[in-house]
Amino acid sequence: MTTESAVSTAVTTNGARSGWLRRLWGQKSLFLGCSLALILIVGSFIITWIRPDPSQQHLEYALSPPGTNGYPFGSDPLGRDVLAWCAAGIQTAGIVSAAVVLISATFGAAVGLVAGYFGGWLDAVLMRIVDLQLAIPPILLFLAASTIVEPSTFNLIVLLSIAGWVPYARVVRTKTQSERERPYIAAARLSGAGHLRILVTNLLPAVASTLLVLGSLSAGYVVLWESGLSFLGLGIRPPRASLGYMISQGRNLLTTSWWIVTLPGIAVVLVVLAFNLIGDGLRDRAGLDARTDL
Amino acid sequence: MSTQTTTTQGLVAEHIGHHYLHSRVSTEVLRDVSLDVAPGRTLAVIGESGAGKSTLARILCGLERPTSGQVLLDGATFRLHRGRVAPVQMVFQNPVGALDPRRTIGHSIALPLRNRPRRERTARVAELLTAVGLEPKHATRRPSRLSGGQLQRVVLARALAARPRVLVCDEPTSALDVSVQAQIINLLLDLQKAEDFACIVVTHDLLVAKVLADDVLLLRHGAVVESATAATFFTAPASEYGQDLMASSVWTHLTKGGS
Amino acid sequence: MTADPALAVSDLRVWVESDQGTITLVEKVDLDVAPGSVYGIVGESGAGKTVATRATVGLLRDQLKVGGRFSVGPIHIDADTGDDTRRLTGEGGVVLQDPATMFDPMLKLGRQLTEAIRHRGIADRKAARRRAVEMLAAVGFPEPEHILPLYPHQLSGGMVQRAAIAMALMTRPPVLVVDEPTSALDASLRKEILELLRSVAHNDGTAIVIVSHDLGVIGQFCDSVAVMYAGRIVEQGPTTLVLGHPAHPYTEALLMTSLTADVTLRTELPVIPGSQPAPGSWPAACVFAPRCPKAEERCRTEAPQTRPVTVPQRQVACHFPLEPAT
Repeated sequence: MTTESAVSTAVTTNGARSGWLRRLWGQKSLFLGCSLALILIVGSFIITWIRPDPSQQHLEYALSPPGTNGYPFGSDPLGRDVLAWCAAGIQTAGIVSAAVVLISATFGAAVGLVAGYFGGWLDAVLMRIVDLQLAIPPILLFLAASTIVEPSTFNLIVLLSIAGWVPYARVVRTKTQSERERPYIAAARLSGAGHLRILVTNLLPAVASTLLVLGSLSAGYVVLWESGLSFLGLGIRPPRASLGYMISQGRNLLTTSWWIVTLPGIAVVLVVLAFNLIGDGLRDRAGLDARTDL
Repeated sequence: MSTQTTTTQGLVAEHIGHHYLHSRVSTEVLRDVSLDVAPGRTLAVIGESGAGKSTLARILCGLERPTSGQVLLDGATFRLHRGRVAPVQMVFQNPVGALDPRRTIGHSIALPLRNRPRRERTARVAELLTAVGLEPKHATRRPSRLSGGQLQRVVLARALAARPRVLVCDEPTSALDVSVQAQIINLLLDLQKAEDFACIVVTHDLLVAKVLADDVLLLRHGAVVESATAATFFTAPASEYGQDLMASSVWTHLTKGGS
Repeated sequence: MTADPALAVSDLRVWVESDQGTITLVEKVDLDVAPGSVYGIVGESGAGKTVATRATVGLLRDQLKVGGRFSVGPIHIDADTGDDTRRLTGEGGVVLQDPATMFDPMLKLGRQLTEAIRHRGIADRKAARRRAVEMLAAVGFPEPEHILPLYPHQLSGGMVQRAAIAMALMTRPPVLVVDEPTSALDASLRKEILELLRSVAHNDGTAIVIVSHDLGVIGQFCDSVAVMYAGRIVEQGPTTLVLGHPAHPYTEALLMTSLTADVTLRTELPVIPGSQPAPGSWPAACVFAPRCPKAEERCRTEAPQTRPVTVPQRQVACHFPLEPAT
């Protein structure tokens, strides 16, 4: 190995354990984030399997404190099981953020690749659209949308995707612009590759890690938006479970029935924390791939 | 100004001019540059940084269209056609950036061979690797596992896969160690003898030009200052600028004499 | 040598601990640089020249461990008995391979130059400014006062190189290490910068150590040279002798394979078969033996000692040097 690689192996090594487990442990953020995510996913599936319908109401057991009447997390004003609701709400948050990140990343990357690669008038037009999008505060967009369409999971996903694609486009555009100048792209052109082939085969893999990092970091924000909008009544509504909705149910009962706000709130924090830890870990890994200086 | 009779074979550039437009300011990079290189011969384009050499290299490959003038290959106007393998191939200064870091060596070399059946591609890649002095087993490796000199050989192999009529080399050895430089120079000389392509070497290093060139084109601020055979230029440059360049080269006094 | 050396290094060793065990990057390096002289260290990439010189100015990463004895001006450090090599940082001046990286793009040049001596308490603001002007003039700026308020990006490549040299000289270091001073520059600028370094050595008595892979640079501007290969010095001595009549087969091979002024048109160059071994895979005994045209059995079993050749100032590590041993 070269002098640089000898130094860099010494720098990034954290002990004598071998293989992927050691590398994962070396990335404590990533390890913790993945573990937390795993616990939340598995836990929520087990709970929803045991208690399948969180929106079922039992008025006679309304506002039961945690641990009474067979409600480990207590019940809400309509007798709904807070634990079952939290589990289902975690799943909803996960599904919504995964969907939004996927859609906005795909769309944003496509726009960014095209704008960054072709430049010229195409780039100018696309960037003006981006500017337009940025000029609209998301909350206004959601308020306006809520007057036109009925709140539903699907509509929420679409709305959040529309509000969220721009950062991907900008990041991908910048990376594409710098990658496009590298000699191997010119070599690909000389070897007979067309534009589409270069975009898909060479440039898309080049921006993939950036997309991954951005996506995992953004996922936390999506969860917060989903909870916030559902809290305001603009997002997901029963029978679909949302953590934000449950929090809104308990907001006037904070001193008497604290569990209705606090426990779903903790669930939101855990989900966002998991995404952030994963995102930080991925970002650190991407940074480590850069060359180290002697 | 050319010192040999223009032939219809090989690469000919006629009155190339080029300028860049940036924020409404036009910068002239090349002015009335003409040259011709016949198959089997090498032209060295020399000059300091800012002389426009790299831009000229890109124009000769067809990667950029000159704002004026034209490039002819074997007598016909030459253009880079999207989707078709170019007859003018390029060797780049920094071999590390010249290969896709996420793909294997074999994949990169086989890029110009995409339309051939798989078995033929693998065989040809092995053949090309051997021709540039590397073992065929390198085909499955990634660029990060190879040294600078080995990577430059791979770049040459890829260029050869396209069976080029012309090879344009932009500072092919400046990023390489002294001993590796010698190997690559020898390789270029050998390959040209075997494949008979016309070769253009763009370099700021006078000695690289001296060992590789049949003819020399000296550029300064985008214009041709001198055009001569290598033998003439390195014995007695006609232009004052050429003489200055020779004098300021730190190598002029060190020779292999002695032991 | 009558005067104390500006830089003296004895038995320098640099290594790093990794998963694969101890990897040595540099070993058995001895340097003796007299004040006012220009000393060249030549070798190909991976030979360890940057690592070795950075060790002498205390600029290595923490993970790299250093052994040996150092003398830089008045400072003496013995790393083998536990002295902290970080005391070396800032004693010698250094100009890095990419001089632009030595400057903070957000600060004016005047501030960066004066900070070099102000934060050490050597001089106050006025004195520091005077010295900055003096150094900028010494490196060839015709109007140094006009340079002080500028930002680094406002200077051209050659000017940045000069400014970096000026900044390194602010503390009047006994030795200045310059790493590849000319690889980013044009031929004409190259000559100017090298002549500048030589005049700094002769006028101020600062010792200059030039690290380069370019034999032409070394040959024309250095009084003495050390040739490094695979982490050690294989030959050192006065430049005219080492490059004119090489004693070590590697030096000779390097000269033969290099592009020199007498290279013939369109003719193949001699090559050294194989490639330099990387740290961690150095051959036992003589490191050059696998590639050496003159290697014999002894070279593969017994490591060559460094001994003088022709004159005492010349040293070679070879069992069968090309020049007679004294």
